[in-house]
Amino acid sequence: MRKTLLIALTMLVTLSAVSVSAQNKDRRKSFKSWDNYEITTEKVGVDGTKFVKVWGFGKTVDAATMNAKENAVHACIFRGLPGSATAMSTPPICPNPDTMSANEDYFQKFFAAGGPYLAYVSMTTDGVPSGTDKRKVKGGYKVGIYVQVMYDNLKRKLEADGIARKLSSGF
Amino acid sequence: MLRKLCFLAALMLLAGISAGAQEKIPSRKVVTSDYNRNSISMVAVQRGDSFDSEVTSAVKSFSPSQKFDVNNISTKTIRIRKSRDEAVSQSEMDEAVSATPFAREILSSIFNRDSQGMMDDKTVRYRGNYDAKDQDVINARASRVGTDALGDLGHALVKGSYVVLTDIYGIDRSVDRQGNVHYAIRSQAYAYKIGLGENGLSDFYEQCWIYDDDDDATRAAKRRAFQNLAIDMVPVAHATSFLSGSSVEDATESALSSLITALENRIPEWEVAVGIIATKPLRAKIGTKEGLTNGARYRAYSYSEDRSGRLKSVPRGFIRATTISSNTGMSIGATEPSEFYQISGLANIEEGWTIKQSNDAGIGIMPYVRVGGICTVSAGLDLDWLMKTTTHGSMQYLLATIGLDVNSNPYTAVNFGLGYGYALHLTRFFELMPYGILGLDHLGLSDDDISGDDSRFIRSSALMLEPGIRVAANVAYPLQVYAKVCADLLLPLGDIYKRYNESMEYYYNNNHHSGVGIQFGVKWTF
Amino acid sequence: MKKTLAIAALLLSVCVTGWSQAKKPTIMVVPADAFCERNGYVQRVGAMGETVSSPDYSRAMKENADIRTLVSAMADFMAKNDFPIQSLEQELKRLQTEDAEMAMMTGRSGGEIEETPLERLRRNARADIILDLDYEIHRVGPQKQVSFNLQAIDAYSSKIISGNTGVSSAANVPLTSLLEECVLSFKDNFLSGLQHYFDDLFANGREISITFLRYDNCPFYFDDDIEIDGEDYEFGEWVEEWLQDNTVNGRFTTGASSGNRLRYTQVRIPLYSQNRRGRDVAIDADDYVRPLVRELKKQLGVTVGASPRGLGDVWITVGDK
Repeated sequence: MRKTLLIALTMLVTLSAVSVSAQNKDRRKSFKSWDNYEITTEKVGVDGTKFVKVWGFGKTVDAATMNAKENAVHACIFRGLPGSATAMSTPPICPNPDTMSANEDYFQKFFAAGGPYLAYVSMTTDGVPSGTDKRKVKGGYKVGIYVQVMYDNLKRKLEADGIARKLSSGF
Repeated sequence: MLRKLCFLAALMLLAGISAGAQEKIPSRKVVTSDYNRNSISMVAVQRGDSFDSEVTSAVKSFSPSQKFDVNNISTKTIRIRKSRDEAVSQSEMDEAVSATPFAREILSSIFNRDSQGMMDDKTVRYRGNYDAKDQDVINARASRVGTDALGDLGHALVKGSYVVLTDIYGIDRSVDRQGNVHYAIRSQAYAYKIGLGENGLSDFYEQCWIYDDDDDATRAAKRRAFQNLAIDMVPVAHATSFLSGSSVEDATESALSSLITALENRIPEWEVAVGIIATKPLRAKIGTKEGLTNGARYRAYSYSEDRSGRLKSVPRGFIRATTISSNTGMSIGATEPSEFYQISGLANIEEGWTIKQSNDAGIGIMPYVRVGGICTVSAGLDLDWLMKTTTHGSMQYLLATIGLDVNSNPYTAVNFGLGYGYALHLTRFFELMPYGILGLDHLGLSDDDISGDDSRFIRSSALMLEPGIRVAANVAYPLQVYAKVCADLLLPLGDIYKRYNESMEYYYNNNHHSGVGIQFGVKWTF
Repeated sequence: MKKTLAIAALLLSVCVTGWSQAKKPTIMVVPADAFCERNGYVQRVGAMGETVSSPDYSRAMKENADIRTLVSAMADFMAKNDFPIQSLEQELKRLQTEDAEMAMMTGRSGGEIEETPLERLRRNARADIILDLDYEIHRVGPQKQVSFNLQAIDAYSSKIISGNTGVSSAANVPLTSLLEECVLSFKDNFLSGLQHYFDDLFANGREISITFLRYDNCPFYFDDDIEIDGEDYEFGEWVEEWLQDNTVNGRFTTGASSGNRLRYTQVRIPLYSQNRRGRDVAIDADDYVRPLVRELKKQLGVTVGASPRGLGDVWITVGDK
């Protein structure tokens, strides 16, 4: 009896370890191919901010909302924001395509669950994503939320951490 | 199929509101989740007869639901020369509408155009601020131009301007024995929408808006441009109704509200839609501003994407408004929500799902068969009308019943009554309702002449008191099955009833008596 | 947080000093000619029998509050990025006092110095980057909408570094809101254009043009062979060799050349050079050609003069000044 229990326990531990490492691997993989999301500029935000609508995907609505927030910050750093009828496009803070791979550890930490990126984004959707902004898709939910990204603060943070170059650097 | 049946039943049984629509939602179309206020102007159709003044006065004094803004246009009536015995056809109406500059009048009214051709945006800004939802206010705060620009949302509302032309015809005057006059009228309404295209409003501003620094020649040119504005009114829906009243004016007044309700079901833009912001209880940010009333029915929808990324709306159960919030002020981003109770649907309604107005009369029709009670077997029809709903699922009904003893030959045994029920929902699928009905059980021979003799009718009737419990279960909303257990108490009111009852007992071994019965039936709510 | 930022900034600046520091380019916002023309901020001057109109910046700045709103909104974000904007108004005042002196100045051989007001401004204010600002307020019925066009121009090469055009929201709100919305709208795109320009500047140097002009009293034509250091050279060839040695990565383009005129464009000069005391100083086209002029005088024994036209264009006259 005791033996069976021991075997079962060992198997459980092994399995969970495998699944954790698989998850990490998944995350690492998705981290690199992180480009598949939609983002649009709503209007010109108040000074220092970008006011965008961004979409995220997740198994639950909460997870999708978190993903959307990550996407918003990711877009400001790496992709830039498209313009709209009354707002010009915004270039990425780090236009160099190698920035992500060169600083992978930094960004792994930056975008970790509950990581520093959350300080630069705040959701302005009233309550929960609703109507067509909350969609059931295969494997979970896709949600669209309105967010304000503290673009200038984010830029200053990345400049201070040596990830982005300051405009005045070199002078 | 269910919808069709529902529609058919509604048409046959009430013969009240029937509507033919030119703009029906195709079944595959995605239900929109946004709603903005619309504005309407009521116009009476005159036929050139003596009823014109009554009809016009009723239309002029009619104030539509709070969900509409009213455009006070100068044309209140149009004249179509046709006998009041016949309805005005769509083509006749189209012709009359195109001969009247409704679009110009609407724009004049919205932009407060004066005799000099000067206009302002006070109304537009007021409406923009008034229509702004919490999300709009939050968005405005996040953007540089800020909340000052909320009023500019009003410009988009201009294209939601409608003219509703009401035509009263087929007036039937009748006088009862007491000499009371009744008018039964047929009425119809045609709704037309202002045909402002994508750039319609900006073209209008460019051609017709006079600025303070415009010189006289420019002003004159812009005034001319306004007179030559060619903006069509586009027919969008048609509804009819049949009502009666003590005067044509009274009947018209009642007809107008039912016509607007019928049009609401035909014009998707008029149906209020909003997201559910919380569950337990269900809450959504609409209220008196949207004309929400207790018991108003809404349908919930969720959205999904198929493999190719196409958006679909999935209908999910119905809910009824319970506690209505008063939200008639300007939004400051924290509107008090109204509460709702879910009455159907397999899944629990979730946060973020859209609910869309789905008007019903709140009337249930219940054909039934009863075993026991005052007689061995009876069949009939129960009706209930939902008076009040609460957030916890209690509902109050006004009840009506009419039943027929199926073994009473050669007598005619009819019972009817009115009652009150207080229903409780343990879950949304089951309804438990203690109720009481007070009525009459009437026995008569088919050659009895009871007309003109009230006393004979009473003498051949018995007072019927029916306390009971009704249990209903949802099958596929709006279809329910139900069972009733009742204890009927009979109190004969006269000699004829007693005599007939004894005779029925003697010849057919079937007399009416107090007793316990059980009833089965189906309920269709519409 | 601020402390961390300061420390990080310090560290960064230490890193940067590793490859020597260049002088920070100065930036000035100037209303576009089209804007001045549209709004009547022009002065008409009779010159050689023709009436020439030129923008009147001074009036534009004094009379138009909107442009001041725009300039201060831009100054605000540029200051946050450590690039204070030079005040056009102050420069104009300084210029006014100089104008009198300028009017008196004539070339030694009698030719007047002819410069457009913008060129004069550029030269005097020595702004490296001119922000050419144009905007228009449109009325859409009761609403207003601002359309804008901001070009950042390299004062040396007159090339457009970054162009930003767009419109504000259409709304019936105070005009300042719309104007500031415009500034915030193009801000980051504009900054990114600047960054791109600076990157290029550090990598490839500043771009200028040099024109050689021959006076009649010059003993040779530019396509003649002349003897320098005992060897026969064509004048142009010798100049090209000098440029090859003294430009960043030897980059320049030879433009039109004739016996009387030589023109070199896209001449990439270093951002700074050492003065005689060995200190790093920022240089413009005029400073850059000084050693060349000295060399020419020494080698050829003729009078050579250099007259700047703006910051990035210089005329070298051979045979006279």
